Amino acid sequence: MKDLLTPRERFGLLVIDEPQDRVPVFPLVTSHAARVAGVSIRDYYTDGSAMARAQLVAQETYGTDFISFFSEVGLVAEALGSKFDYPDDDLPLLTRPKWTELVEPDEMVVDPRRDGRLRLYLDAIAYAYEARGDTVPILAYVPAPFTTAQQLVDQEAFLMGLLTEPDRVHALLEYATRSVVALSKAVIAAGGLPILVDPLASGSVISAEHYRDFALPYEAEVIRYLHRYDLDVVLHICGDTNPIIDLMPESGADLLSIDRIEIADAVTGAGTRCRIVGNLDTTAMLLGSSADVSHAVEKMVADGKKNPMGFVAATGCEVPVDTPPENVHAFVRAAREAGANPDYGGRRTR
Amino acid sequence: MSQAGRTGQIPKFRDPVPGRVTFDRWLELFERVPDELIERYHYYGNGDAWSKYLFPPQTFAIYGARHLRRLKFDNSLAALRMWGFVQNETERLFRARQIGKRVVATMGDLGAVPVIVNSFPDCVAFYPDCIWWTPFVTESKVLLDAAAELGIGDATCFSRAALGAFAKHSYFPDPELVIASTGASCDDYSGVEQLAASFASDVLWVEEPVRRECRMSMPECRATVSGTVYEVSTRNFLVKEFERVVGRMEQLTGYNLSDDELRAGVRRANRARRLVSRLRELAYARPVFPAIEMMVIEFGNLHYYSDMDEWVRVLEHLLATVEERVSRRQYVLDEDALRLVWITPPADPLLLTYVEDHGARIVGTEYVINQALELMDEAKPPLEAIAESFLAASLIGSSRARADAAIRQARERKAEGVIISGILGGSHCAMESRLIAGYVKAELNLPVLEFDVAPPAREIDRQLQTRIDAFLELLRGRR
Amino acid sequence: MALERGETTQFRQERLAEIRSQREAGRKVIGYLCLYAPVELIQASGAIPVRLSLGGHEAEIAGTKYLRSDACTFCKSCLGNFENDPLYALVDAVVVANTCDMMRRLPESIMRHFRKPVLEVYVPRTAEALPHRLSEFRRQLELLRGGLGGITGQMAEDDGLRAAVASYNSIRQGLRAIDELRLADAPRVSESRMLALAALSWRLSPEQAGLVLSEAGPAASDPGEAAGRRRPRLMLGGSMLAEDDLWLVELIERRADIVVDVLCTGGRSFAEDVPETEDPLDGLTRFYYGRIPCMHRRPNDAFYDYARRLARERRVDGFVYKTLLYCDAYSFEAKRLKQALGLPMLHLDTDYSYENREQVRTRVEAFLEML
Repeated sequence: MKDLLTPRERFGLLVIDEPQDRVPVFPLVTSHAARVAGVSIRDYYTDGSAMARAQLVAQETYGTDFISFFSEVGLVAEALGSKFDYPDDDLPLLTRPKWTELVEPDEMVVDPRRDGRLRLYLDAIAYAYEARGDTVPILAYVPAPFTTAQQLVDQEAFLMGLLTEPDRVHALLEYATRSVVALSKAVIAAGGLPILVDPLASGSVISAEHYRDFALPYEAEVIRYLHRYDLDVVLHICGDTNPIIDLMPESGADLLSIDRIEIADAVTGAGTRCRIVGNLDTTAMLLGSSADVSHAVEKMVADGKKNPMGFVAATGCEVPVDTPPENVHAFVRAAREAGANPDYGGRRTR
Repeated sequence: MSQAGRTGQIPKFRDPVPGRVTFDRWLELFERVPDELIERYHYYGNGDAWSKYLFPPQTFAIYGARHLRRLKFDNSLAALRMWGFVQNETERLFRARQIGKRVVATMGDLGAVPVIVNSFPDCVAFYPDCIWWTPFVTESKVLLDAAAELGIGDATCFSRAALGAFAKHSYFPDPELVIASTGASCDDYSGVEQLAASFASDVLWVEEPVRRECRMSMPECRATVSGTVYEVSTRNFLVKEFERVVGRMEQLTGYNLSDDELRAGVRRANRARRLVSRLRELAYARPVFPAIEMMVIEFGNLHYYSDMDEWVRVLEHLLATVEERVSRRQYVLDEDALRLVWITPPADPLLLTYVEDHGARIVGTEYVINQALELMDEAKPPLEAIAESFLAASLIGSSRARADAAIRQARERKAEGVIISGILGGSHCAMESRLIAGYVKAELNLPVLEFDVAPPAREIDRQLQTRIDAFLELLRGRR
Repeated sequence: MALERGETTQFRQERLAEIRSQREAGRKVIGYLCLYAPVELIQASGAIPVRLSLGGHEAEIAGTKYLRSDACTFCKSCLGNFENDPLYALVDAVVVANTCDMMRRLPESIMRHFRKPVLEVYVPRTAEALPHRLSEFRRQLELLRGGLGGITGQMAEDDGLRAAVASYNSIRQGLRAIDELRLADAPRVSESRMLALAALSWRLSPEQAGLVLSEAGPAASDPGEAAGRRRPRLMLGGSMLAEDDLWLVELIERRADIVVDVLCTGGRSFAEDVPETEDPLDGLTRFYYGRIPCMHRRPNDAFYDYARRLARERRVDGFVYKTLLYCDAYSFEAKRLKQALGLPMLHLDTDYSYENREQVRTRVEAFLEML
């Protein structure tokens, strides 16, 4: 059935606290788009127009409500000097962080037009914005300072530093924040809406206290910058966010994209302050049957719709690259049906 | 948001040297705007975060206003404030309803009815008509396609976008009342009103009478504040129509509006009109402010972008900026730019950027909203004052009258050329354009360029660019 | 007497000569453009009222000298006919009812390019007959009365008005009587005959029209070749259908019966009578304000009610909706009308050119096949 609203119109209503014709649907199709479009993963994350075209094809194929650009969380770290390997059929892998231990960072701030792969990222955003920006919101994942910092330093050294050298960690986080803000500004200039992604701040990696002391303040700083532009900020933290769900809204995020937490708990912990985005288990997307996916989505949407601030039906994390397309179709179909709002528009045409 | 932050001293911000800047440049300039200023400006007198509006064009571009990237803007804080306020309107209308205001759609009359609606407490009037710009601002056919599905196809005025917006329920909240004015009005928009009525819970139809030609020497004739002559019986008729508007609003709100309150509404609207009049006087006499911003300012007189009080403050800020530029002789365009009068507002604002980029400037306008610029006589009973001002309307009289308004401005400002922009299939464009061009050429012996604005696109149609270029060359050659 | 096209032409030619001769004798010829122009007032002012309802491809092309190509097709042809048509050349003044925007703006072009005085009647677009609107419309008619008197030298007095009302009501009744013959299963009058009769009736003097109609009625009541046949029954509607723009009607009638129309040059011109009131201007005011509306009226629900009722009464199988290019008032309503009537509908949006006729023919045939 044809939608009354475009994805952009629908999202526009969500972020001003107005009912929509249906729940927006957002399986996090990132690198999986390469499969849909028939391009190699490597081409996807090294060629901006290939990334954009793949996203456009995927959005059209699946009928999702967003286009989102993401390859991996090391984007800013790479631009700052960490080294990555580029497998042909897999995402970039961190091979050598910029520093092996916590040091006093330099003065570098990334130049998104020049450093690392940031330029192609921006090109991809601009391409998609030009092609379809009138009807579909263009989102771009921006790695948060805490996650970025963990890609700049040997991870063990970093995590130890939370306990033993907090000042150095903060210095590193401030360093990362400056570049995250620079990338955010460039994303804004390209027409994209930044999504702050901070998976290495989840309960799967650190404690709630460390989240509060080391991740949250820098998420908040980036979000404060984005709020100067009145942007509606999605904070995505995949993994276990049970321990931090009531802290996450303090970042100032407008939408919380969640993963391994019951929707009902997310609503309780954050639902009066944030919209909830999530959260079908991506393993189920990859390995389950279409029927299983449909049933799970129906239940998820039924729970998520209760969120007073609003809900976006999504996956908990990126749709795995090799997810069977029929499962993504099943997700979208089920989310549309379960998320339909028959009362939208009130009085119908006579 | 503290009172102190709002009413205390304005945080220091120095405008750059006046000029027109690109979209990209605004991103850099905005970085210098202190947080305190962003926190300072709110609409509806509200202190919540959602009511802030000092945001740059980038914000709105991210949410779909793609055409902003192509335009050039005035680089003052006042202009930034204006753009943020105007671009924010869709959200503002929904927030109005959320905070308990009554949202009333006024259609067709372009200036009079909101004066009445805004006199009622907690009521907001807006014109779905103004959605005609949305397809251009978004570079999108979404609303035009939606209108086509409802029966209005191509080769009609872009105001059909309003019908698409009604169908979507996402460009403004479903109004509690639609006050649809029709009569001596454009067929296209009257057609939109009829079809949009299907989406409305309550519609009040209001007649816009024709303004017959008459002279002050005739006993039954009077003149508006600016000198448009009209028949008293027509004014009296219109008063009756507006009494119905008051009556319906009273029914809607359960509130009996007093004469004093309506007078106060007239005075407030006049405040805006005086500010705009002064801005026009200054900005069309000297190149101190760009044409796109001036067009936005003129159209603000229709419904004040849904918050009259805040819009007046924006206008005051704009006027202060312009007055300072005049006193310092700081111009945003070449003093020697070709002087043009523009008749009928261009649906694509990029056209105004284009002519300014190519050495011309606008020194006069006839944007089919003369009634919204006309001052209301505060000495008269308020409905009479409103009715009288409406009788200066651009489209209810003859094409000769519209031409005369443009001719007067062209003479006063020594215009060198006249542009008439129209829309293919627009009823008044099809019938008036040639007549107006004929009158202008006969009276002023000035070149006239007449063209239709193409459907929404990223750039101006190449053929049209060539025609404009040739026209400007012709004007240069005549110097 | 069967009013085939040839005899209509003869009537017209004779009438043209008669009008010319009466004009030379001092009578004024007042053309009027619309159903909302009160023909009774013109008649009672001593003038010869002539409805100007010609279209024509050549006239349309001639009209593009004065108006843009995207102006209403009828308005363009009107100006073209002022340039070239012998009847239009005889017109001393024009009464234009300011109805739709295009029609409202036409006078300025007529005056500027042809120097014909135009008397404008402002008909409020809003359909609700509130007292102040009726009062304003009455004032418009009084202004018109004065304006006509200024041209003819004869003010329309009450007696004259009453007589004119009675005459024209009689024409309307005569046309209705013939039109009702289309109720039968095998309709005894074709649409082309009805339209020709209506156009002729408004062209002739009321007395002449009365005679024509009194003879046309009995002639039409003979079922003739229509007896026993059952073809698709259609309703015809749309923009103003010029009296010389009947090719579509004739095309359709080869295979179907148009049993009713909702056109201003057809059924709507005779559907109702002016009430014969003590104060005739009062009756005229109420009639012209409140008659079955043209689509431009707001709201236009009464038109829909009328069309639905007729479709039911005449047992209509389908609806042909012919709009003129750039006639917004009618073309905008096509979709809504289709939904409201719930009938198969063929919408044709054309000008007066010949080029698209083959295409139209194909579409008509396909539509009739479907029925």
